[in-house]
Amino acid sequence: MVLELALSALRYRPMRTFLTASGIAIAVGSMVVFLSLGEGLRQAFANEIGSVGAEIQVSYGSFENLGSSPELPLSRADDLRAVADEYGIVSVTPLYLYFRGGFSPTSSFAFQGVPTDVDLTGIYPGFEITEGRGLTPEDRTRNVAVVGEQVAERSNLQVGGTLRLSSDAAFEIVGLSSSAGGFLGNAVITPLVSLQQATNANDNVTFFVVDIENPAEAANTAAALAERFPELGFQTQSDVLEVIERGIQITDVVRLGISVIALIVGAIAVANTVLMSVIERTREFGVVRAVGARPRFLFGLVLVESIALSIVGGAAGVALGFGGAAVVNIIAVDLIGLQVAAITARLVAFSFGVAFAMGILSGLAPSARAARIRIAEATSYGV
Amino acid sequence: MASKTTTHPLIAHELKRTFDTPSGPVEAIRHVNHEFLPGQVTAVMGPSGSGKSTLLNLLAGFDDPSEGHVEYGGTVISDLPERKRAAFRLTTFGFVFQAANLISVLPAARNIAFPMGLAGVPRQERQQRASELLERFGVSHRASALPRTLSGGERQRVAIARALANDPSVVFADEPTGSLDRESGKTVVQALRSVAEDGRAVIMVTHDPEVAAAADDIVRIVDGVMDENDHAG
Repeated sequence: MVLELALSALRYRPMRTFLTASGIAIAVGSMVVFLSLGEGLRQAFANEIGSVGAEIQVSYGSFENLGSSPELPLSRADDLRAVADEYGIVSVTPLYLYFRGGFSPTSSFAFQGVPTDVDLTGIYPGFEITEGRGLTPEDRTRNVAVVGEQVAERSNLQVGGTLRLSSDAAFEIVGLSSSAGGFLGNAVITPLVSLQQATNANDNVTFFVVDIENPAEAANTAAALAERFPELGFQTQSDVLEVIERGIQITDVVRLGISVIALIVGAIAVANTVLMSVIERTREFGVVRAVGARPRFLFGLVLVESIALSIVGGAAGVALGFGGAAVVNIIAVDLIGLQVAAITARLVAFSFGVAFAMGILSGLAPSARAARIRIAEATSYGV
Repeated sequence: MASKTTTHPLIAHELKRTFDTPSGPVEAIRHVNHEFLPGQVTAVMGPSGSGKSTLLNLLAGFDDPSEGHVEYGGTVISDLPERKRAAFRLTTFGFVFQAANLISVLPAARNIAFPMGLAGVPRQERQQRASELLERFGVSHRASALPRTLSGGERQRVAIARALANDPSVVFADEPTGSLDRESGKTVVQALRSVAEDGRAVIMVTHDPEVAAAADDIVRIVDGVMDENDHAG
């Protein structure tokens, strides 16, 4: 009875129902797009980190300091190599990350200094030269670079061209690389020594990547090495992902905060519409009570109307979110070569949960008002 | 549909209703005593503001008297908790109001079936009974029409049909012809008379002497007090 009457009431005023549901759809849709960015970043980072061959990364302090200037002396790699047999270490490779920021993705570059005598497929299994050549031991001090295909396309770089790192240093592009993921596709790989020289990093690097005999023992090995070298930080891939997850969670809060504003606006729109509808139908509700309905019938009726509006709006919002996320991905792939938005099952479930909760919360006050209607006053309302 | 025969009158005992206003308490009605008999149409008459609607609200259990009580079949209506009072309205009383009487979002047949749904009558039985009532009051051709597409007379006849949905013993009609033209008003009064002929008590509030003339019994209210009984029939 309640559901039948509630749906009839919503169908009876199609334009109002449509506009209110649209408001909810936009609120939920924007929330889905905002939150899909976090889901997409999680997936992207998991793919990228998962494609890295090395099991342990070594830095000073925690992994979170990687963005700052390099502080890890190259000589510490020898300390680790000295205990290689004891801890099952296969190789220790120093890496130096240097970010050249710009005002747009086309002028921002992630330089990665690597030893020229190392086979990069050991660190990045998907690494492959698609044009030109890779780095050779002879390139050790040369300003040459292998540029990821995505960054080359985005910034219009070609083999034989030049990529300027600063006013004092420019790197000749000798090859293009592709990788299964997006991270290397967006990297500019240079000889470690030349990058150190170009950025006055002395003999410091950002971190070492450590390959071990038994990857399943990465966590135990990292813990044992941390005990042996307490001044160094040892992170496994899952540690790295945890750090990234923490960072994404912080952005989740920010994005959720923005979404909540949209949701509050949506909820107020629903509450206002339902309340107006209750006021308009005061006399009718008085008649419904007069013919034998109990107050809780009206409470349920109005609440169901509110929930139905929110669920319909929520479903449309999820659909809008899919479209919005697709658009975001088209733009993001074009700009940075990564799909940053992903709509997961848990996001869809969460969105429906939010829409349902929004329906309940925004329907409570109008429902309570409907339940309090006094028959004697309501049946003469407006007469 | 089988006729409803009941032996219980609806009894008003020393009814008084006082409202608190900023300028002090106002007695809307006082010392109202009357038996509303089954099988009769009783017209409650009086000028605007005389207390007619207040009396109807007390008789129907929409409001509680400040003093006195309303009794039906040994049950004092104002003693009932809201849940039982709602059940009483659902099964024992039927209501016809002046205007905007029907649930706007439901077609005529579903308006009639609505109180039966509240009473838990199975869907098929509801539909069958709604059809019979539409037929009885000459509006079966408007079964699927929404209230806004019905004429005033049709709306009131559907409302009378709905009032009989759960086969009540007492039917209240508050200015049932108030918003109708003369011809439609006559049809509605005839319909209410036929409801009384089923053996039900029909209590009709009106300010129209011509409508009241069709009643078996007239209760006149002037300034909140019953004037005298005038047996019109």
